[in-house]
Amino acid sequence: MPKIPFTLNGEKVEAEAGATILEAAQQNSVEIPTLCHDPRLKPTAACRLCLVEVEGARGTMPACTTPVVGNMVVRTTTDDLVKSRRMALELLLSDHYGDCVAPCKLACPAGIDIQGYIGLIASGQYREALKLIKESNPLPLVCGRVCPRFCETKCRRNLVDGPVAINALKRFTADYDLNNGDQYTPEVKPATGHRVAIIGGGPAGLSAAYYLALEGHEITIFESNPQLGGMLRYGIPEYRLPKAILDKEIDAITNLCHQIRCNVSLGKDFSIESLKDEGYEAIFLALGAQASQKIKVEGEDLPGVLAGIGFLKDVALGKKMNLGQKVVVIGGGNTAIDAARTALRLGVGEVTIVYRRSRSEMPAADEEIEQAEQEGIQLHFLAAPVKLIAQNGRVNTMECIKMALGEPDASGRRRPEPITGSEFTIEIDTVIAAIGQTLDGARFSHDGQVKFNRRGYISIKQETMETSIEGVFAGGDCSSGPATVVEAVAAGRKTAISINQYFNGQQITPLEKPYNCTKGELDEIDTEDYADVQRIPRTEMPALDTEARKQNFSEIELGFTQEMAKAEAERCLSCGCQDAFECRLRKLATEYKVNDTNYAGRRRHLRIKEHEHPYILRDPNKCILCGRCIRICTEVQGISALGFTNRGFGTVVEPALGMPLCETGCDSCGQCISTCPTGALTPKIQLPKPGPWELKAVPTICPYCGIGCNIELNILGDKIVEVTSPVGSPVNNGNLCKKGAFNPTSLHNLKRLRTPLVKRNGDLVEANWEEAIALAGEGLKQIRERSGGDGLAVLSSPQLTNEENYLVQKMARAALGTNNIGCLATPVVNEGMMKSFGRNASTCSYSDILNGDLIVVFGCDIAEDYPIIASKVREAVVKGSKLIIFNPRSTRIDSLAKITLKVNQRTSMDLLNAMLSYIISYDLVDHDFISSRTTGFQDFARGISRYPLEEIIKAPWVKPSKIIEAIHLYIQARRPVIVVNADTVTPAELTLISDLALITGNAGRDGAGIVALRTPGNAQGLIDMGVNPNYLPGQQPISDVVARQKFEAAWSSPVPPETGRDSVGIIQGVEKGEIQGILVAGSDAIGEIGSAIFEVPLFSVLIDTVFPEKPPYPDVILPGANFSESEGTYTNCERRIQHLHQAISPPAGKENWEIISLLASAIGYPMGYPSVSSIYNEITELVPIFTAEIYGEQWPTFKGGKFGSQNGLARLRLPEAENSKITEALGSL
Amino acid sequence: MVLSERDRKSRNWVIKVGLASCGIAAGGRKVYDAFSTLILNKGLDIELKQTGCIGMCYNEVLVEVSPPEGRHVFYKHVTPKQVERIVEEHLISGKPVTEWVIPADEIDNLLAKQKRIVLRNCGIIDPESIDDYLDAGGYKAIEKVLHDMSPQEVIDEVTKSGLRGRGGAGFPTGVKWGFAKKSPGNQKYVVCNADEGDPGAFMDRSVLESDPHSIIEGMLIAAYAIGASEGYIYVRAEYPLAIQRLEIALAQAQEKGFIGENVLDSNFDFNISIRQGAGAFVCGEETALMMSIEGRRGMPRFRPPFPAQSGLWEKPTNINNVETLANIPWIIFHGANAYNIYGTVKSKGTKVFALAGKVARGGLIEVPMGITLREIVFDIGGGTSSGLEFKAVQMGGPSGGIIPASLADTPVDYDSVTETGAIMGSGGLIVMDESACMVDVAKFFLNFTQDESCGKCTFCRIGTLRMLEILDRITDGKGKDGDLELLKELAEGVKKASLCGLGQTAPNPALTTLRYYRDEYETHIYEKKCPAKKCQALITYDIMPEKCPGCGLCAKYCPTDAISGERKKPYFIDSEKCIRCGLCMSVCRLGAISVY
Repeated sequence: MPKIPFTLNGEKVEAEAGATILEAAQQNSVEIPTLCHDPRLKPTAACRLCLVEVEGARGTMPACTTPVVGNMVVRTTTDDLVKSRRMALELLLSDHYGDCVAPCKLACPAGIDIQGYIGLIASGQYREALKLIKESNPLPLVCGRVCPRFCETKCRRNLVDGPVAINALKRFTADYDLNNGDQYTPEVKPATGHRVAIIGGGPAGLSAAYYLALEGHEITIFESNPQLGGMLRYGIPEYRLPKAILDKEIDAITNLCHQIRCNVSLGKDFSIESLKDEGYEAIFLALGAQASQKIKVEGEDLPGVLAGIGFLKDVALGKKMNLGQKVVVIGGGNTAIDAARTALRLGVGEVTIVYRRSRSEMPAADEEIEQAEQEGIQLHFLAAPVKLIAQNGRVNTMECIKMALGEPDASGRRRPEPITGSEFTIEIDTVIAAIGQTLDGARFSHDGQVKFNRRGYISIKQETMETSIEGVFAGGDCSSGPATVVEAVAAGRKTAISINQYFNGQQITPLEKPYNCTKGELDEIDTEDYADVQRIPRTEMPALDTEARKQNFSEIELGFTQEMAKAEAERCLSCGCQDAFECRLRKLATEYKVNDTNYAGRRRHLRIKEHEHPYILRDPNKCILCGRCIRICTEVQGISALGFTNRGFGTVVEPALGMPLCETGCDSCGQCISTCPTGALTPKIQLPKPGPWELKAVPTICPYCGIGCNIELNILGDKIVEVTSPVGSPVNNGNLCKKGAFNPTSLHNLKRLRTPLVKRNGDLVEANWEEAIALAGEGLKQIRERSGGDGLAVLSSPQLTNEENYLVQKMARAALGTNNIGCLATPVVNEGMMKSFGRNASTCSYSDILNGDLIVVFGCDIAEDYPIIASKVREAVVKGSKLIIFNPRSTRIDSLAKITLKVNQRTSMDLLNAMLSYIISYDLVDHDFISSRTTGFQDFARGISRYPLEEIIKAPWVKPSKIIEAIHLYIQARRPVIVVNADTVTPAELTLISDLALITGNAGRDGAGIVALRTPGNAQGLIDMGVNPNYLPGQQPISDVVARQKFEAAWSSPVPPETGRDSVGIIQGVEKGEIQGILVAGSDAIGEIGSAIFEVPLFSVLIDTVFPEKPPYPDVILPGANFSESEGTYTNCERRIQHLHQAISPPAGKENWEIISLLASAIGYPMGYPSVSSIYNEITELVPIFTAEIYGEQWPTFKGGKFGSQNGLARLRLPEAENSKITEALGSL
Repeated sequence: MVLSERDRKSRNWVIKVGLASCGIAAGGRKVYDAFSTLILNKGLDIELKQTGCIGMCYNEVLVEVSPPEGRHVFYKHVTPKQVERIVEEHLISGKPVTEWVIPADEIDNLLAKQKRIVLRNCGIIDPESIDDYLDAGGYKAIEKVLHDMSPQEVIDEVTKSGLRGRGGAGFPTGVKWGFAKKSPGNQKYVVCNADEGDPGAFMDRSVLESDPHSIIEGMLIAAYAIGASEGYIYVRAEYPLAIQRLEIALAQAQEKGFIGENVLDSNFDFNISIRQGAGAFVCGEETALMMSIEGRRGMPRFRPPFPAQSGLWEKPTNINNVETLANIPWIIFHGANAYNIYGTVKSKGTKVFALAGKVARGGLIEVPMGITLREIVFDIGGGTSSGLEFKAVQMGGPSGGIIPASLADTPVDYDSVTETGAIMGSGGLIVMDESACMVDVAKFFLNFTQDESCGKCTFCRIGTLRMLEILDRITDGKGKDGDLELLKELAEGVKKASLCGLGQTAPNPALTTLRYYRDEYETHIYEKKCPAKKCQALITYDIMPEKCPGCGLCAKYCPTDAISGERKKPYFIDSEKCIRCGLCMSVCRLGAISVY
């Protein structure tokens, strides 16, 4: 292709002729942003993002529509352009009503993907849920118990009936993992040799250790206490967080660490300098803030006056202490409550909390306060100690003063002010002061010049956790002041990211914050939006009752059961956008650092019609009106189910006439979803909750028809969540139909076979693999020994891969000694083309449809059955190709056709005969082609002359001028392509169609020919692999001695020389009792052939995926794999050999090829393939048309002007009498 | 006033009643019927005719009475009741009813500075009579073209005339035709853009209603020049009379062999169909118009390719608006040189304007290019209708801009008008006096363009709304510091990055008012006052006690009972209840109510 030189951002580059600026830039690795363009569609220049500057042009030019011309000077990134793009994005977002990310996730300091893990819990994927949580928080057992739940206060479910029990669900996930078999262990990257010292084994230190260890760094944790855990161990009482649970969580982290050093303190046993000298390259200070704040009253240092944190720690350490009978706790935070409840559990009769403000100002969690009250702790508000008085050397009286609330202070709470003269006293035995904590600054020396802030905490850069010393980081309470566990976790993770960057020699930068659109705070949301949400009360956390918990330290909250967790997970409203990970608008908004409040104003707020379509969810509030959905529906699908309505700001995309989408002409192909750049069109996920999740995309091939579309299965755990298709793929260029787009996502609903089953006393019972395989092998072997190969048969499936089909026929021929090889697809494989061309396959390619100048669609409704081919036909017609359709019924593409002929199977034979006769009688044939490339013309011409056109045009259904016009269009075309459905036309029709192509010289050359479409996914592969009584793999006749000997040598086994039974013959043989043993291999095989054959007394083995619903059952059932669980190749209808990748593991653990190999071995014919590719290699050695290079490409159907037959010539022939309806047709004339 | 040949030759009395939309709206049909009945009853030998719009819309119903000899006169504001007296005194007794007659000097003033080329037949011939058109020299130009000129000669002649597209953009018509002619293809189209969408503009409607054959003839000449065989007239469905008269004209032209196969026995074939637009402003944009003709939603697309290369059904297409096409027969008939003596160096010929707003003599005028705005407003328009100071004109419809009185000496030609920030547009010219609030004016026009945006491109769909919201805020008294900068930033962004002319020009009213009346904006924002006392949220009505006699009339009319008082004592207005409708002020006969 010629190249055009032009200048792009100052560099001289080249573009392919005819490219737009957008494409040309892409060819030179320069991305120009666009939202409205899809390479599958005509450009429209609506979004105004791709505007570029072209020298000499007036104003800016849209890159998507402007072609590159020679020596054009294009700039794509000037300040003006960036400004304009940012304005466009800000305008779009100013009218975007939705949440990119759910508010719970945004509220979580650790940024846990809450919606994601709740969705996974809903579908029972607990392991995946835990993995997702651990991506942001390595302490779910702990946090699941003690987190203050910032998330739940923001939960949108508050607008319905109360927040989702987010934290309880997190705890459930962690508990489940702990209690159910093998615990999750994350993958650790290879060792880097970098050493990190983490000082402090609390939540911040542990989190940093976890994430740094996963990166492969060598971690040492230094802890001043005897054990790790920090405040988790020494600050949180046992009844809230049992030490045994904490130990499990800590163990999971320390298992990843190099060394744990307890009872050592910074400033005493080591210093920052000494650590550096020891070779630690990075140091993380996670010291906590464990020093208690002073209450600053007289008598504070008296015996019997304890500090809250110190008290809790002593209890945790198991120290004995005498508290007396009356304990007063001063303070209103969680530590105060913990101290009070702990004191109660230690046997103190009367515990009182004295707090200087009122209840509503208490910082402690509401539930904690309630539980404390239930347990009998008294709360004394609006009072503060002024003096502590001792008797006998120990405190025994506390003098207090009453307080009143004044004006709000800096914290926003009302300031307590003492009421003069209101002093009173309380008799006490012990005072516990829990008014706050601080960093024990004195604990470590200042040798390292670590700087402190004004509040006395370590000064850091907030986003990167760097201290003033290079390589030294700090986080958690020691830099933030006392805060929550989850904030410490977040600090630890942030530090890990920074240290990792530091080790990689990168500049330390905070993680890029993705743009997030939000509907607003809870009080800004229209509750009408949630009016239809079913009210379901929040699942209560099961707990010990008050009496049972008061006197001991047993954990109070008991955790959710699986049922409770699932039910609670179902309550999640899935606020975050399903497209959050893919959204183009969000990506660009992040890249261009937009501020969506710059142009804030009225936003569209439209109702989402949840139930208007079974597969497609439209959210018009997220629509940017790029029109891609409308255009793909019209231009590619030819449907126009969607369109623009209204004008101005009120313009919306809507289904025609405002009907529900599914009531329009919508084909449910999902193409609109595939092109939508935002979350305005998303698939309805066939799981209890829609995610979104970051999915793993596994490229593979659609099995639902023979076109062989390239698809990507988007996987999470063991579920196919969504199907996509890469734009630019050779077969379907990113286009899919309903089957490909949606069928795989409901596969998990099938009742799958999970273990081998064997029949015992008429009932199916579970068996292990060894038993079942041995039983099956022995049964088949005995029949072979008893009555030879003739008594055995195999049926294989066009759903299986090439490799599997190859193995099935190999097993039949080599292990069972039979050519009784049938196929599960009905009807029997049409061999019309085999006899004409020597190969049973399309003679040309899909691309020939696109580039042809005439397309003849014969006997099928491609718009309905093969929509992807229909879209190619549509594209070709738009490019100027003509179209003729022969079909009994009207089809959706009729309007594109130049001629439509409504012929049924009876009349089509008449018509084909008459057309051929006309061509011959008027000598319109291609003589050169006939003489050089075909045989049998004389006989054929003589035979066909019996059906003159003059006869047929007498028939009332036909308009002679149309037939003649069609003939002439075909003859005049230079690149005519005939498209047939080889599964629905008769062999006789297919023979005549082949003849038509041959006598006019329109087969066996580039650009013209016949595309034979077939319904099952690997129909062509099944034909090619010799699943046929007459043909060996590679369509080599069994009668070909040379070929047969080659196989015998390779397989070290004789191959029966005589033809066997085909499927019909096999079934008849079964019914007559001539077949005594059968192997059926397929995917939902019973769905294909029914279970009737298992009724007959014979020994039957079934390899299948789906549980047979009812008897009769086969003797042995081996649970197989479906396409998404298999590795191997499929061959499509244009002979392209394409790779099927395994996306999920088969439920019973074995792929079909493994099962077949094991079975063959059990029969006594060992098959020891190490992998699928070794099977493919064997095929390439035995099949001349298959080579290693052909992998991913098309195998050639004619090479060097030679057809597939042995003499290289095609055969012109009349259809065989038994298949033909000629006689019948003649009679009717 | 020039009378047609046919009228001059007539030996009878001729009465013409103006029955374009303006005349009909004023009650012309009833006047016509009254004459008809009376003439019949009295058995008078008088020819009663309908005609189109002569341009003096402010005087409708207009009746022209032409005696067989002597002076013809125009009666203004004629009602059916007056008909009898006119018949009796003038037609029977030969004495004009002078008090109803438009004074001759008024007509002279009106015409002195005009040059009627496009409007040559308007208000003179019967638009439903092809014979009238033929008598006025109609279809002579196409005859000349078919007999004596090659397509290239036609194009050269049009090019030489200097005619520029009158739809607004001002692209040289001859050059445009040249492109369409050069584009390869057997099938080409000529489209007449009669989708006149500007509020306040009615030039095209008047021409279609008053002289439809001139458009048909213009299209024929264009089609011959570029090699087209099919034509479409895209006309708004809101112009039923125009459509009706076009249909009549097409049928007549067909009958006489001016359209169809072998026009005037030449090899040239041409057919015209009418397509009715559903009233989307954006369909006046040529690419959107073509989509609409094709039966799709009218949404503009990016050019290139231009319609001349790939237009209707992707075939080469030439689109001209009504006024442009109406010029063509005249230019061909009289020659380019007769045309290009009018106008300025770069803007040749004449321009039709729909003069409206606060002007004394509103109507349709046609002036040579280069005339100043002052001449239009004062000499032709007679100054403001209110007597208040002339403040500004809005030129070019909602996508145009404001030209302040201080620039009234700007000559009306494409370049000078563009320099002011306004555009020539299709010819809407709205005169404003001191009572106009410029923020309100900008808001009015932007509201229109925002509503009419097709929704395709981001800037136009959302950007114009955001601008409108800022203007709303300002007129609501909620304007804040930084609003004007934001408004300007948005306006410039929208202007630069929009796809089609609608979006590219929609910010013009805001930008020009900001340019010339920034102080007014600032008064709204910082002083929370509307200097023109237009913006309801920023004004207060008050009763001046010294002038109020306590008649209670205002209180009676007040829709919210905000006015109260004792009879014969000054009343007062409760500003909490007052909705600032201004009704009190308009009913008070003593001027006792003030607004500030």
